[in-house]
Amino acid sequence: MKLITAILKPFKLEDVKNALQGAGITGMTVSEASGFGRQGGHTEVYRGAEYTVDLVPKVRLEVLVDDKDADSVVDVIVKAASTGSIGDGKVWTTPVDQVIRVRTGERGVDAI
Amino acid sequence: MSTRERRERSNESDRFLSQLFNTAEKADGRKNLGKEIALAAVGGYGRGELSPGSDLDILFLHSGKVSAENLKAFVNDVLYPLWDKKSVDHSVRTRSETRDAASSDLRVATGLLDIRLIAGNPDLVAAIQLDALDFWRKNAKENLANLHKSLQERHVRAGELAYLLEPDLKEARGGLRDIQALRAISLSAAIAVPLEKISWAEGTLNNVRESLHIASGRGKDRLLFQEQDKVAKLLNYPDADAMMSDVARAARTVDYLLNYTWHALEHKEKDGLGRILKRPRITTVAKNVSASNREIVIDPFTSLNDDPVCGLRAAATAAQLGLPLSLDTCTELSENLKSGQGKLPTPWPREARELLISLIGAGEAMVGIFESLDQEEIIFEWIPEWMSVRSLPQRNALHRHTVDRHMVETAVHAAKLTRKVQRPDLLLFAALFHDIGKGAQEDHSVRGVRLIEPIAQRIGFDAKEIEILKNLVLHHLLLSSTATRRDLDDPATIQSIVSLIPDVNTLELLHALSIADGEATGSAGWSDWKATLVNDLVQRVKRAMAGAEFAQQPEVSAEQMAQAEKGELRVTLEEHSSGYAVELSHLISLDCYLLSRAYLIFRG
Repeated sequence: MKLITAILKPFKLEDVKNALQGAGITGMTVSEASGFGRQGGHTEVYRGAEYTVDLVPKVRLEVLVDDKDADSVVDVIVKAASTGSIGDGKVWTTPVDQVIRVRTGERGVDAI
Repeated sequence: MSTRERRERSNESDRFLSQLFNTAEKADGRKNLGKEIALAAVGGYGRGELSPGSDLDILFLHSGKVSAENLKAFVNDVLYPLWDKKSVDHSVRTRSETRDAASSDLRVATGLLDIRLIAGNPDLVAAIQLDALDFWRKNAKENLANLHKSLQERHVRAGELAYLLEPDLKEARGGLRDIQALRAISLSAAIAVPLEKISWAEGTLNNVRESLHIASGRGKDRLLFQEQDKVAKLLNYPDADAMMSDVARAARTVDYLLNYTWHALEHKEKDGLGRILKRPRITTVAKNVSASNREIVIDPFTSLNDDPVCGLRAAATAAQLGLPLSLDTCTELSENLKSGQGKLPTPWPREARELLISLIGAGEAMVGIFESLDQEEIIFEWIPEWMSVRSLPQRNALHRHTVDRHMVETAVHAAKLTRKVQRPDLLLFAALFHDIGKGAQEDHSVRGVRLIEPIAQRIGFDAKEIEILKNLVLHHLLLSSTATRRDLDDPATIQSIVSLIPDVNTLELLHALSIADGEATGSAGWSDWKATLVNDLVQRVKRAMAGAEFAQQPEVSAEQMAQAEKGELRVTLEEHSSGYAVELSHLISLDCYLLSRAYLIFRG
C-alpha cells in the first residue's frame, strides 16, 4: 500500500476531490497547511511597513491506495491540480506497512 | 414525562424500600431495632424526583446503640433484594458521623438539604434535617465559596449546556446541578433567589432527562446526537432542533440567574472598591441611570413615557462600564415596555440609535447585558425580529453557539476591529444582524437582506447606509468562500469581487465582518490559514479598485498577425505625453496567438 500526499493550492481542492471521486477513491484526509517551495513566499505592505510572508497557505491532502493504483491516482491528482503557474504544489508517495480499519479491525487492502 | 411521573416513580421506590425495611425489622432477634434506625432519601430522590435511570441515594441513620454486626446484617437485608433491580448509592451513619461528613464534603452537605424520611424512626431524620440546615446557614460564607469553586470547575469540565452539540443535562453549565446549587444558595438565606424564574427551565430539563433515560434505556445524562431525535419524539416536539432550542433556552435561564446571584452575593452591601457599606451608595452615571451595589439601575420614579430611551441608556452604560443590569431594573423595564410604555418612535431618535451602537460596541461585557435583555424579553420590545433566532440551534460541527449568541459573539469580535473601518457603526450593526435570516429553508444571506432593511429603517439609518448594510449581509460569506475556493491569481476572481462590492469602504467593512464572523464561529470555521487567504484576496481587490487595472487583451492587427506567423520580435519607441513609450511586441505562434506588450514611461 502507498500513502499519497499532495500539497495543493487551496482553490484546487474541489477539483482534485471531484477528480479522485471520479477515479473511485472514496476516502481522503484534508488539512490546512502553510509552507513554501520555489514560489518562496512574497512581500506585503501592512500599515506602511513591508514584511515578507514566508508561508503561503496550501491544502494538504492524503490518500491511502493499493500499490497498483498509486501511479494512476497520482496522475489524477497532478492533472486536476495543475494550473501551470508557480506554486501549484507537490505530490509524493510513501510506502505503508499496515492499515487497520478501527471499526471492524480489517487489515491491509481491505481496510482502504 | 412530567413531574407527576417522576414523583410516582419516587413514591413507588418509597413503598418498596419501606416494605424491605419492615421485613428486615421483623426478622428474629431485632426487637426495637426500628427505633434505633431510620432510612432516608437524599439528593434528587429526597426531593421526590426520580428519572428511570437515576440512582437511589439513600442514607441509613442509626442511634449508635446497635452493634456493628446487627447493623450490617440489617442493612444487607434491606439492600440485597434491590441489587439486581436498581443501582443504589447508600451510606450508613450516626448523627455525628453525618455532621462530620457534611462539613468535609460539599456534596454530602447539599444532598442532606433535601433529606426525607422513608421508614424507621422519624426523630433521627428530623435531627439531621436541622443539623444540615444549621450547618449550611451558619457557615454560609465558606460553604457558598466552596460551592462556587466546585461549580466553576464543573463548568470548565462539562461546558455550556446551551451551546454544546451533545451536552450533559446534569453537569453542564446551566444544567440540573446548577438548579440544585441555586436551591442550596436560596436555603443558605444569604440572599433571596427568585427561584420562580427557573421553574419552566427545571421542568423542561427534567423532562428531557427523563425521556433520555427512557429512550436510551440507560441512566446516562449526556444527550448524544443519535438519541436527540428519539427524545424529541417522546416529548412531542416536531423535531430535535425544536427540543434543543428549548434546552438551550432553559440552560440560559438557569445560567443567567446563577450569574446574577453570584454577582449579587459578592457585591451585597459593598461599594465599588469592595468596602462594606451600611447603606448602599448610589452614583449617577447617566441621565436617570445610576450605579448601586456594583449594578446599573434605572432611577426610581423615572417615567418611560417621558424618557423612552432610558432603557437603552441603562443597557449601554452598563455594557460600557462592565457592570450588570440589576435584576429588578430589568424586570420593571420589561413589564413597563410590555404594558406599552416607552414606545420608541419610528425612526428611532438619534440618541437611541447611538446608544444601541454603543451597547453593541462595548465588547466582552456586552454579552452579559444582552443576555439580560434576552432573558427579560426586553430586546424583543425594541427589535421584534430577534425573536426568530432566539436560542435557534445550529446543529453542525462548525458552530459552537446558537444563532443569536453567535451574532452577539460576532459583535464582540467586531468591536475590536472598529478602528480599521471608516464606519464602525455599520460594522457593529451588520455584525449583530448578519445571520438574522437563519431559521428558514431559503439562503440565509438573501433572506437576511430582506429582514435587515426594515430594522435598519426603524433604527434610523438613511438610504445610503441601508444599502451598505444590505450589501454586508448579502455578501458576508463572499470573501471567505472566494478566498478558499477560487484562484487568487486569476484576474477574473478579483473582478468577480470588484463587480459585487461598490467601493473600498464597503470592502473594508466586509473584511472586518468576515474576520469577526469567523472568529466568533470558532476554530472549526476560522484559522490563521484562512485569515491569510482572505487578507490576500482583500489586498488584491483593493489594488484592483485603486485603479491598478489588469492589462486588457490588446487587439491584434493583421500586420502583427503576419509577424507572429514568422515568430518575429519587435521593439518600437514612440513619443508619449509624459516621455517615451517603449513597446516590446513578442508574438509567438503556437496553437493560439500570444501577445505581450510593455509600456515604460521615461520621465525626464
